[in-house]
Amino acid sequence: MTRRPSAEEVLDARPGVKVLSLDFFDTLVTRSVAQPSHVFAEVERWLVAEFGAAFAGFAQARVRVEHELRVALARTGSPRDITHAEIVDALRREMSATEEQAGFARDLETRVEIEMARAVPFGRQLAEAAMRRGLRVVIVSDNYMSSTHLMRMAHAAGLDWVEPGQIYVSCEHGGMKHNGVLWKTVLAETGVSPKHVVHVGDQHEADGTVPSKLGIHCHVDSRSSRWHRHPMNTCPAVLPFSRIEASQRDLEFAHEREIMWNIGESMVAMVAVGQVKDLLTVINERDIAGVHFAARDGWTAHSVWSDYRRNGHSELPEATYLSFSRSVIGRANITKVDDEVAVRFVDEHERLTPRRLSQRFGCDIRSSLAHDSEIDSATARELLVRNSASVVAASRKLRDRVIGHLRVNGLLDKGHHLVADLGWRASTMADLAEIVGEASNGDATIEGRFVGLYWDATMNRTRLPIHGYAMDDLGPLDDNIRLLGAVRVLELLVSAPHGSVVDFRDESKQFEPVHAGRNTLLPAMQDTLEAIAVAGATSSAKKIMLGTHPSGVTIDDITPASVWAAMMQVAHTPRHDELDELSRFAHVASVDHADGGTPLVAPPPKWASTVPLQWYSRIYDDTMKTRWFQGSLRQWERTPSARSFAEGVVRLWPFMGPVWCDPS
Amino acid sequence: MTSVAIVMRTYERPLLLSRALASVCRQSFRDWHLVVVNNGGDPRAVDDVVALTRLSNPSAAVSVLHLPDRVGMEEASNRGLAATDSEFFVIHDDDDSWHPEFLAVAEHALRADPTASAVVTGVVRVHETFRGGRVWPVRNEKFYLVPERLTFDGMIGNNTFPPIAALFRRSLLDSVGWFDASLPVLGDWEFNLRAVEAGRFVFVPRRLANYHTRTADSDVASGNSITVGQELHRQTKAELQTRWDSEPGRDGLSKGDLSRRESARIDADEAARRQQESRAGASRTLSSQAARAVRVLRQPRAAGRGLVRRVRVRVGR
Repeated sequence: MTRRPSAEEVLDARPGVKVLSLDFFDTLVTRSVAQPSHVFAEVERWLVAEFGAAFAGFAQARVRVEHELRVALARTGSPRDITHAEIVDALRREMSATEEQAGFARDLETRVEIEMARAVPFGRQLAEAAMRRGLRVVIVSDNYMSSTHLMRMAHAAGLDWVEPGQIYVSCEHGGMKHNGVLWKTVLAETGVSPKHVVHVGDQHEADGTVPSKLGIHCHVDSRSSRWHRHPMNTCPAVLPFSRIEASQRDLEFAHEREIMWNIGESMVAMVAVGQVKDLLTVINERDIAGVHFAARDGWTAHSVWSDYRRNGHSELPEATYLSFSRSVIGRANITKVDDEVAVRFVDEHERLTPRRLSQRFGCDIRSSLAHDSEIDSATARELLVRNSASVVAASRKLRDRVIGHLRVNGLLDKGHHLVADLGWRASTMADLAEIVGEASNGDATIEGRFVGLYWDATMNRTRLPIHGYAMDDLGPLDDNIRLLGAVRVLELLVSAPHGSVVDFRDESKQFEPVHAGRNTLLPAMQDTLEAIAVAGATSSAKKIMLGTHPSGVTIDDITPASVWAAMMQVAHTPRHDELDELSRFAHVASVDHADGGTPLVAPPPKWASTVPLQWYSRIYDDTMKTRWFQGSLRQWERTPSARSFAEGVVRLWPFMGPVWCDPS
Repeated sequence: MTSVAIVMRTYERPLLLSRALASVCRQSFRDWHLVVVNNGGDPRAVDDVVALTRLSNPSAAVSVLHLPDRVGMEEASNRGLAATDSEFFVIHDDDDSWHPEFLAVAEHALRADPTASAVVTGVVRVHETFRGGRVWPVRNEKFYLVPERLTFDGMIGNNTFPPIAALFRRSLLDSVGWFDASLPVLGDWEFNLRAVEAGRFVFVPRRLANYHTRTADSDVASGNSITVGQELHRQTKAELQTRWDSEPGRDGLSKGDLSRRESARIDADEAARRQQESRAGASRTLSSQAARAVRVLRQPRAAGRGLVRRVRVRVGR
């Protein structure tokens, strides 16, 4: 992390200046949400409450209309900025709203902007330092809002010293910072030479390049705008996540924070609270024998549940942390080994050894090959089928240990149990349901409460009751595919500070779980950063539950739609810094968790700009099956040599474009 | 008396049935009674799926009517309806699904308009493949439906919407009669035509109903009546039109002739639309060749990439 200059240092570096010019939005004043467009989401929330569902989609329309007006005006060659009245008028036509409704929306937007205004710590420090030094402070902004309105926002943000005479806003001066016209006005009205002005803003072009050409000293600080994501993903559901991100943004001015900590505090915490809230809803409605969180993605939620129970909710049942994994449940359910079973346990791309195969199944896999000779997946599968008897015997023993673990944790107690898990197909939970039913002679039943399920879950609906909180297989097709593309990164982020469950000890050790040790083949930092995300999530989620989160987000704000929005903001439209960080990770999908995994983000195909159209499907399928699809796609979009290929992918699969929010 | 009776006919499709039950149970509107009409299939399979549903929805009003022998679809609907008492009713096929707000929106709209006999919402057609006990979506299509298609004139030529999209007022059964049990298919169309003469259909454009159809490569047992039995549909439609020859229609035509005329018009419109699309495709091909020629002149590098692309296809690398 590079050290940023303090406010004093920025001024010290330009000793002769007489005027400090500050950009307004995201330099001096920001909002209590992470990006400007999210103010419109708050407006939409109010409008829907006032006028009904006809105003659903208002926020997106608002963003689109403003953009289109700017483009249209720029085409005319006019140096002026658009006005708020023009936006409101265009929006009224777009939404087929009445004059009265449009007026209401306009006034509401103005009010919400003021209510949400917050001072940017660095901007405030700069202004205060400049005033202490006797410098004149002016505000220069490209915006459609009047100087009076900006002053009101500044006052609401605690910047009482701001007066209308200090504000130069593009919509009142017939020119903009971007095209240089507004700078000439500022210099003429302040009567100082450009070399006596230092301007601080967040946009490289308007606040850096353009004023520099006029001789103005410039300093660009993009710490606030760094948090912006795609503006079209603006809907009320995104507000809780946005408010958490805004609180992180403000804290980051005091000290730099780990990106993984931030993701943990925001998206992962919301997922964990969503898991807990879903279970709370169920136990308020019906009799439940037990509540269980499944390893590893239930670790944070279990911790949050236990904490909530300790803090004044002792009426809640004590929840267990159930140690099971796709690996152990699958292996404990083997009754025969045929080709179909072998395919389930040996991935097509795996390179194994007879020794690793033996370890994977907990039995001696006999073959004429040397223990450490490398074998391909076909050979490994053939060996499994040939050693069927040993594999089945080992499976039976493992099954006994699994049942022991379930019994110790109360899952075989008579009644209906809830098991919370992240997702995605419910097949492991369906296998577990069968073990539970058989081991309890039908006395115990389980129900899977998942964060997300995609279409393959449908086939498991005949095996156990399942519920997808944020998304399920009955949801829109586009969202189903988006979830499928994002599952690898979600699995990595919603995790636990221990390895995967690979076995259980015997009865003398109370069937304690055996976790996979540190995987030395994974990048060295991966475990540490995963643990940071878990720690951030646990701390933040507990605060949300108790109503003490600094963002003001409470459990009431956590809804299926808001959890989905949080998941999509990170997993579908990651910011560049998040993408860079997550690109360092590998995802381990093998049954024994004993290999180095596959990097989450796929490199672009060779000579990407010349990939024939008929190959796109194969690349799409491969990336979907083995990688974080959206992360890979966003990385290709940033790579100049792969950009045209990425554009082709989005043309063919438009739901993988950056806009995931579809109010229709 | 519950507000809404939901009749779900099923026959040997437990996987689809479980999905349909989940679709009903996740409705935000709760005042409903669901009757699953097992139309002569294995009772245990249906009971198992319903039992699983009850585990997670113990308060849901779900009952099962096992018919010992398979009867026609409309007879099955009538039996299900006879087993319920409600203000409104809907036929939920066991392969379709709803948005969680379907019942809330449709019930509100029907209650708000006492002159209406039904409410029909917008529809998404989900093309899906069902093979080897696994079902997966292939693509979604916005089902074409406009208010004009919900009038007598709009419906007489063709069945314009699937049952999953419509909530009916139950009093219709007394005023226009029940579903015609003699019809092997298209019973919903015939009923809709009687219903729309008794009171208008209100259209809610929000796409709250999912009409699932299986692709041609799906297992036969999973098929829709439409995609599997096209010949039966044609035959039944002709029989209905013959039946309607004795009933008055519009413009001096019998109802049967009116149906034939409108049906022919719709077919002609459809053929014209297809022809137009095909012409547009041909013109696109021509213009894309022209565009390629222009691009070669203007952007030789892009043209070079196109050449490399073609070489890569040849050599497969």
